[in-house]
Amino acid sequence: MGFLASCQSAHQKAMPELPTQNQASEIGRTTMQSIPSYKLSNGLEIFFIEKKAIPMATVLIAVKNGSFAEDESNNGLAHLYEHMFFKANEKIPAQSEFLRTLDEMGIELGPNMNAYTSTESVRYFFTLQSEYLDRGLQFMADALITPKFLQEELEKERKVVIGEFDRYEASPSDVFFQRGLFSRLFKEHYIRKNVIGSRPVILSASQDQMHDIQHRYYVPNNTALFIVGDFSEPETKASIQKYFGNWKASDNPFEKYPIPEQTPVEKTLSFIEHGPVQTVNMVLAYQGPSLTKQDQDTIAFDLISMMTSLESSPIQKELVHSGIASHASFFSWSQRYTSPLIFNLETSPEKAQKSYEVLMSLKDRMLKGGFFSEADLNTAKTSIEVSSAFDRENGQKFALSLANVWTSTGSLDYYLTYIPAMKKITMADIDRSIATYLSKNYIIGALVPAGTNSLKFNEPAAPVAAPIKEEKAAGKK
Amino acid sequence: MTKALDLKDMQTFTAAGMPGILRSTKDDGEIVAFQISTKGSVNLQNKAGVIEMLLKTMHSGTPTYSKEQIDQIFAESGAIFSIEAKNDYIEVSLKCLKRFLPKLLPIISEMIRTPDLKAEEIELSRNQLLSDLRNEEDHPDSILQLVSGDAFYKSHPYSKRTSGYLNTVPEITREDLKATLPKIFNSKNVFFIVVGDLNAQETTSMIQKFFGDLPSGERGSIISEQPKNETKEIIYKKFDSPTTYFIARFKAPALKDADYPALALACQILDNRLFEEVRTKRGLTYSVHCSMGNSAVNSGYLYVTSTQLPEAVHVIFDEVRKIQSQPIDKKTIELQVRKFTSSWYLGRETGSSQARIFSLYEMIGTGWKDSNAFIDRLNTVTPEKIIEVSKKYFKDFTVAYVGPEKIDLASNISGHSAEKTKAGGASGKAAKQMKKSKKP
Repeated sequence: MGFLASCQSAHQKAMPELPTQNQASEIGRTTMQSIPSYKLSNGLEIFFIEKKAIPMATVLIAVKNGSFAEDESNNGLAHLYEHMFFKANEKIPAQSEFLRTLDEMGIELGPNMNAYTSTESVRYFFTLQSEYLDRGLQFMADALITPKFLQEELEKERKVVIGEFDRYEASPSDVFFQRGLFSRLFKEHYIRKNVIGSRPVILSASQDQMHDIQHRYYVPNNTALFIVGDFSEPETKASIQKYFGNWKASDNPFEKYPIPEQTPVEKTLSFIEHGPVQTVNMVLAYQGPSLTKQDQDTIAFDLISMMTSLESSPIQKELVHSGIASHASFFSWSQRYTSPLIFNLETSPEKAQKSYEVLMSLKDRMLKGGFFSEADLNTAKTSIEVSSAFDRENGQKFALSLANVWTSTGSLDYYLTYIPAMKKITMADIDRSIATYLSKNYIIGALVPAGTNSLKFNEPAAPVAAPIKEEKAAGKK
Repeated sequence: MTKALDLKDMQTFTAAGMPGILRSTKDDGEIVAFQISTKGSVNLQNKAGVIEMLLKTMHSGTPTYSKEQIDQIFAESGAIFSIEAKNDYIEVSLKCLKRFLPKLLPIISEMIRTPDLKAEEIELSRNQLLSDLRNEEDHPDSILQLVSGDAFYKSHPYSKRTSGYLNTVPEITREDLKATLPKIFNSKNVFFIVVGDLNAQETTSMIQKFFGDLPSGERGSIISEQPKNETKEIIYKKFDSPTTYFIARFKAPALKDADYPALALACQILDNRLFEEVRTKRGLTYSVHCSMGNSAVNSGYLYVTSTQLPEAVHVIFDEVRKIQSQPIDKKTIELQVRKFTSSWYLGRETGSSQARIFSLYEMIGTGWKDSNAFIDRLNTVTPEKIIEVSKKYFKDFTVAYVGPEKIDLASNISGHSAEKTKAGGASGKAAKQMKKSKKP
């Protein structure tokens, strides 16, 4: 549901993260009034959030890049670039020095430092003791502005990314969601939702391709810097000017290389995949609203997601409490280029057919309106509002959430206005959003244990092998 | 040290004869962390899985609140609530705005004292638990945990895990649940931890009011018996995946043990070296780790996934031999302590994370008062001590791997000369996936 912190890579199943916001509200001191920000002359946008609970600061760079900017020739390279980010650069010529520098700044890879590539964002961050902040900013600027992409390092890192690819393919449910479902739901531009990318593209990635990405997307006017934690604003501003001030602006990549909108699902289809699993995983998926275009609908679906998770919801009562499914949920992953809306349930092979019938019946009832109650709506609103305050307790998590909003929407307005906008949503708005999106063509699918043949969908079957463009491209090479 | 980390303002209290601690703070606005920690866990069950089934079913209705009402009240308060069972202790954790405490605590009180445990709700919990257990066999990581956990904890009390097994969960009865409840939640076995904008008077009154009626009982015990860990065979389980998953488990000192800080440093140094040698320099893996747990009967592991497993394992054990024989310079130790200090701060960023740390030290450490002493303990570690603990603990590995085919690994791991294939293996340890790989 909501604005995903997104995935380390596409292989990770969509993990819901509550939307966050900051506006005066009933939560009093746990809310924020504004987020101080400014721009350098080269276009780099900087956001400051002071949190003094511990003497630590998070430094996060967000770049508007990801699979949404890829095509058949480079699917997976935004992610590979992310792996190459903290390699040799003009200031740190070798990986061993890089690791030593991290040690000196008291940064442990993993808990204190990481990087995530998603469909619509790439984020690099570390959290360090405030006394090392100046050095950390220099370290981040060097990695961002002066990468070398040494051939030897690139060749090794391609193998590392393929190792990540192998782990993704070892998970039947992850492959089912990404390749089985998304390739059908986003058929025309599936690549743009496929962060992990294509094996052949990764294996043949060149230094030139890395530099192309650098020059196109890793420019100050396509990047934002977030500092969250305990720091001195004047000193930090001076450091930022010193290390990032001479970075040259470039063309807006999205004017020169516009991103196509996702095309609607042409026809309702079903698919069943057999795998080495013990339970049935069933999905019913729609193309949903897009951020910046249908913001109110994205918020409405966050509320719907919360309402369907309530024990009083018919979804829980008729699917889970009845004993025909062990888990049932609905989630919306808010995206600039079409958010997926997904009902997901887990059941046994014996109860799969019944689960399917009940799920479709519930969906039909949702479409008729009045499915949720006013009380459910109010509960969901309060829950989301309080949760957003909790999310801000952790500086690293807060920075990641803000960065995600910025990369998809180009500003933090969505974040800042989220709660007031959510509070205005009525039952009529909820019904209208449902009617608008859940009446469209859809994809229904299931991952079932090998040998299970009892489940039959009423919808026409999709082609046995989904036409995945990245594999076609692989065939050509 | 910042105010939020200073233990000087901690207050101890007794409410209705039950102990607790309070960090009274105004830094976090209205957010309050409220925790009840209880000793004992796997050893309180007569059947593996009783604890998990009980904790799931406790949410499903009490004399005053229906399942839907409980969910509704928690949802509309936005509270984050969980009851989590570890091997040694159980934590009831609530994070909420202060204003909602009077609504939420009566529910928690009834949940832990007088849950309905209706037959139909027990069956729902059972089916969900069985579904979760079946799902363990869908991913090589969880299978790896299953088979290596079975071998490592064979005949040990930890093998009676709280989530149970496919063959034990169907046997659990309502009587089993009812008998276990007061062993966990009784006035002699609870420890309260509160962090937030409350004073001592408010806190003790609240606990007295809502938890004063907890039944009397016995203090739970913490297991100290070590696993025999005599498995010499390398365990293999087939799974058709594109890569092979490997783990080598080893015994480790507990948090309060004098060796703990040195082995924590050794594990972190080895983890960094494995990242550099196996991943960065050779590109043999995406995911390689050395890590140590935090149980009273503690263990650690070496872990890797690779399509070139013999080579990866060879490099891993080469690095193990190096750390056992080559002294670490003092500067390296100093820098590693600096990294631990960063993680130490991060672990204390919020009231709820502080509560978890107090709980850990109170339940299986030397008491919450020592929860800030870890960095000082690390600072006493010498290069010689790191070699000593590396030799002492990086040995007698329980080794398992899961992948598409059998591989000859024995020559790469000292002390292992034969392999056996573990067929089937439906029952096993509830596994969470190994920690996410370091990136970038």
